[in-house]
Amino acid sequence: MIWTIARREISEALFTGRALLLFVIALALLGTGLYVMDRDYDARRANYDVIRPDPTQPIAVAPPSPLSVFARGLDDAMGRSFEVSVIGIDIGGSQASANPLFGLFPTPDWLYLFRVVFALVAFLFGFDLICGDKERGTLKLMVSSGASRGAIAVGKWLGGWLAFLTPIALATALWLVLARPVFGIALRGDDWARILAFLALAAVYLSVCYAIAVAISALFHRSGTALVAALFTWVVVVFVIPSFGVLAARQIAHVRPLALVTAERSRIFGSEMMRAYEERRAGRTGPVFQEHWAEMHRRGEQVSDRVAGELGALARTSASLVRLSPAGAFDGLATRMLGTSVVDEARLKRDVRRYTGAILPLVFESRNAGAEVEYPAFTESRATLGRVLADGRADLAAIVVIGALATLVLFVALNRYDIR
Amino acid sequence: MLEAIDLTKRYEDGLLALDHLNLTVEPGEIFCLLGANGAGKTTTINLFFDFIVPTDGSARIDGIEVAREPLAAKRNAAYVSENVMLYGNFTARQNLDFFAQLSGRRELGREDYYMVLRRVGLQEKAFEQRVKTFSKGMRQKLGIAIAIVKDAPNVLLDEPTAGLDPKAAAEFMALLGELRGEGKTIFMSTHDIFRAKEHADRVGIMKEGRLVMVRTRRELAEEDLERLYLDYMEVEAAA
Amino acid sequence: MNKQAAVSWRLVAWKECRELLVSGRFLVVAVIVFGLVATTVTVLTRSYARDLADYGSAVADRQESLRQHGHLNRLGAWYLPDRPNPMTAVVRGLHQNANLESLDNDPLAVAYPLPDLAVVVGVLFSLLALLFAHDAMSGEREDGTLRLLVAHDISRVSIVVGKAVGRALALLVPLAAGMLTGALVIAGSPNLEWSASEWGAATVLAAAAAIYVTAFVCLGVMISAWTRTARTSLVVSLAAWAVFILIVPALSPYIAGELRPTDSLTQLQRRVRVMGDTERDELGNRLSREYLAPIRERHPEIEGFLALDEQARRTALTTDPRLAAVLDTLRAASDSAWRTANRIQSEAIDALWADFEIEREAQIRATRRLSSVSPYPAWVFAALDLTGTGLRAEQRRELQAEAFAQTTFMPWRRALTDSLIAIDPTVDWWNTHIDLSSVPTFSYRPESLAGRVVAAAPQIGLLLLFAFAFLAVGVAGFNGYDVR
Repeated sequence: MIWTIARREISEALFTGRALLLFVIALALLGTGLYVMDRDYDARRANYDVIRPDPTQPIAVAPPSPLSVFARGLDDAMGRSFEVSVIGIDIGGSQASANPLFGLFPTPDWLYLFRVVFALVAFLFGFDLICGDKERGTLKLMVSSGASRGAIAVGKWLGGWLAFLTPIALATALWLVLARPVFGIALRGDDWARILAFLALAAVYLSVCYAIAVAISALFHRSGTALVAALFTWVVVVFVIPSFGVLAARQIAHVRPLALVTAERSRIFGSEMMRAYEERRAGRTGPVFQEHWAEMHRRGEQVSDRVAGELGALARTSASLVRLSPAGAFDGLATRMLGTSVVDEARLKRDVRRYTGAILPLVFESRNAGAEVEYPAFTESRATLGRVLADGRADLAAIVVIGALATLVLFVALNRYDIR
Repeated sequence: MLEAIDLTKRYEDGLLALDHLNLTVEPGEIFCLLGANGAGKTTTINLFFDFIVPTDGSARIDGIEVAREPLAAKRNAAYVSENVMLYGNFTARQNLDFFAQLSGRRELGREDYYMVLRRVGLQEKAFEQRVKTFSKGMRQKLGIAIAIVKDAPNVLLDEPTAGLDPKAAAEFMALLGELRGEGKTIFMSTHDIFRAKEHADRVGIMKEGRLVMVRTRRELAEEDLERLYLDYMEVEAAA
Repeated sequence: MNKQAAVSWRLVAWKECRELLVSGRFLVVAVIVFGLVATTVTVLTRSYARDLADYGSAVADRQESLRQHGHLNRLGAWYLPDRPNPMTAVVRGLHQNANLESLDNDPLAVAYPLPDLAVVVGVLFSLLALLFAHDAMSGEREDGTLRLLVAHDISRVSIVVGKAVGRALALLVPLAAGMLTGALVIAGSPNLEWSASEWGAATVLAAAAAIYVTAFVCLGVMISAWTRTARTSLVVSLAAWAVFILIVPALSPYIAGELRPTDSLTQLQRRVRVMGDTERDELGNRLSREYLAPIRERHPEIEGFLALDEQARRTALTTDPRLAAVLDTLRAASDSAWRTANRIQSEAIDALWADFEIEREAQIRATRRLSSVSPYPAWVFAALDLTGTGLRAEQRRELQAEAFAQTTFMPWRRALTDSLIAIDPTVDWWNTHIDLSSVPTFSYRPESLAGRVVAAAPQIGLLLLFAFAFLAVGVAGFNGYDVR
């Protein structure tokens, strides 16, 4: 019974061409995303090759990861170079491209496509699953032919879910296979595991969106109204809750404005330099400047500590609030899987600071001797996939709970649904 | 006056829906077109309203060829579809008002609309009710009210009494009789043999796109219309 | 078009509008539209208030620092950010406060950028408009009311135009309400002061948003006139939105990059840094030695003086006044050497940048041309130009900043150094503490309203063109439409 109902749903999607159209749309979007992000990756890779240090340069820079092709995230921020000088850390490569119009429009990387566009598709394919049939008169027929409401719910859900997820899955699989020959995107073993984990998560997320849409279809009697209700829900889930979550987090976890932090750093710099010059003029001998440079670094570190603490609290608060929406939870966990999340950027900065502490004596030595020194290479630490999944339990749970709730609503609503 | 001259419609898939129909319906006449489903009755009406274009021949309304001057032709004809569908969120009067204005009747007021709605037999309390609450009978009445307000010399109806209870159907036909008395040309397709025999001035039978028989009222008085109809249909079944 | 036809499309429009206004569909869409506009403006206004407060603190802090620790050689370290643009209360513009040049950047601002009207209207309202209008024809056909409509003396053109206008009007009602509420929020905000010119720009912006939304209503009607069922219209509308909002705008800069490539910016920046720093220092030192050598040859007694420290120098000057004259000559020569070094390197750097700018401009132009295939970029460019948050304003600002540097800052600095040297020529004034709190600061003068409107006009014209084009194609589709 369930399978009969499901099969009908699938056939209809196939015969009306909706499934094919969706496959074409998915193919076009995923392909565009790969093309755009791959070019982006090439540009960042080229940048990296320019700013990559040789052993005599005290520069920390992390190479771009091919995974960033799938989720841009904070990849621009993480691709900067951090040069350790006697007076502080200089940032380089912060403007990666000449054309300012690159950042103007939404980047259709795969994360955006799944989180925003395919979620919309899920809503648009599920919103009239029940009420559409009621309008056509076929729901009455199904119930009168002996199918239980539960069987109808499961059968239609299953059929519709397969009808919308399969074209997307096929298009995704096709591009995964073509990624290397067409775009030259080369992934290593661990990268593949992360991509597959990301796609599995995306499938769960899309299914939850679909479940919400189907629940909506059982709450309304006219598909015209259900459509706008589904649209409204999509807007709230994908845009409103995440944005408001971050805004609320900023009210709760205050971060000192950047202008003030920069001013403080300038003050440290200025005051130490002035003192150095004055001491020198007063006749002090010895490594006057070096002492003050070291002091600059020490005071700068205090500022960095404080900033890191504030930003960390903000990130954690924000993640908790944003998690209320499946889209927010998906985004958080997915970026962590692919290594371009806020957490990863914070980890990179910690690595940079650790590196700075380690090589600072060498930097001073090089300055004093007036000669080149060999610095150890900078290595960034990365969280293993297992660690990411373990830490991401809350996000995954949030998504699944919403899905369960939606399914519950569907069953309850369908049981009281007026099928006439 | 309605004229079909060698009116033919063949669809892209090859189906010959109408095969050289020749027919004239005069003012002050009710013409009923009988036939099986798919015989071409609805196609004929669709051709008169430029919903589809003829493959050959022409349809004329008061001498104006529909395919050549559709807007002028439609000005002279009113349409009542099978299963009248109207704007559900508007009331009966609002629907009537919209279509009246569309027909160029901009001078009518609320009372005028109420008069027409009373004439077609719609209950008073339904005048300001939203049409989505209406039964089929109520919608058919509203459909003919729209045609009456338009006051066009020709009225074409597609199976207007299908699904109506006998009383409502009788009232509807009586109304058509009144319109005939005003000198209008009435053309209706129907399955209702008995009402056709009772009210029509002429009856035609369509089979597979061809008009195979036309009888006047007088001729019908002597013959059994039902048997005639079935005979014509049986010929097809035997062949 | 005869009188009846002219009346007809208005009748249809009015019917369409009224029908939608009483439907549940409209209520939900109205809530979304109104809610999003009102909350976006509210959030951005508060963000502006915060930015303004931060700016005030930064200015005060800087003044204090300049007074207490100021010295000429590192005046650049006290960089003053620009005063926030009041129109960022509606549109954020090119720079989303990524602050990537700072170590203390807030990554959350990049991961979750604040929404602004350019994005909300551009991305979301286009979708809403499409879904609002996607079943204009197919829906009425499925409802069965299209036949009766077509059976009347009304041209198909009138039907299409009437439906598009009616649906657009219905959608523009909550949009206008949202904009008005936004205007009230801005007017009522104590921290936000808009000049008449800014209110004018906001009005034109609202009009552009209305045209943009209307264009997508026309697109929805067009799609509806070419599809038979509402379900098909829906999927096609989704595809159209994906193409216009995601694919075309995202692809344009990359294709433009293929057609009009530029040299790597990072490489250029690195090159320029070296040229302005190391190379300039080397050149300056070399020229210095060159210029100073003949003077030192002529006045060998100066060698002894130069070896002394500041205190001893002062003493020496009082004892031998002739040394002062030689010192002046030396200083003049050194200044000249460094000025020459600076000039040579600047010119070389400028030449590099100029070449790069030409390539960059070509790429930007190509991007804009390619992206004009979709209405969304046209809207964004118009919004940026009207609010002064786009490339145009940036270029204007750069020119003004340069002019300021040449006409105000440099002369001030020269006058200051001259006066200081006149007081005591022995002191290394570049590395001595001076109260610099009176340094002239640059403030950007925004473009006039007329200028901004003229800049945005072609984009707004393009939006109108899209609306008409979609409508025309819709009419073409409806002419052959099977209304049964």
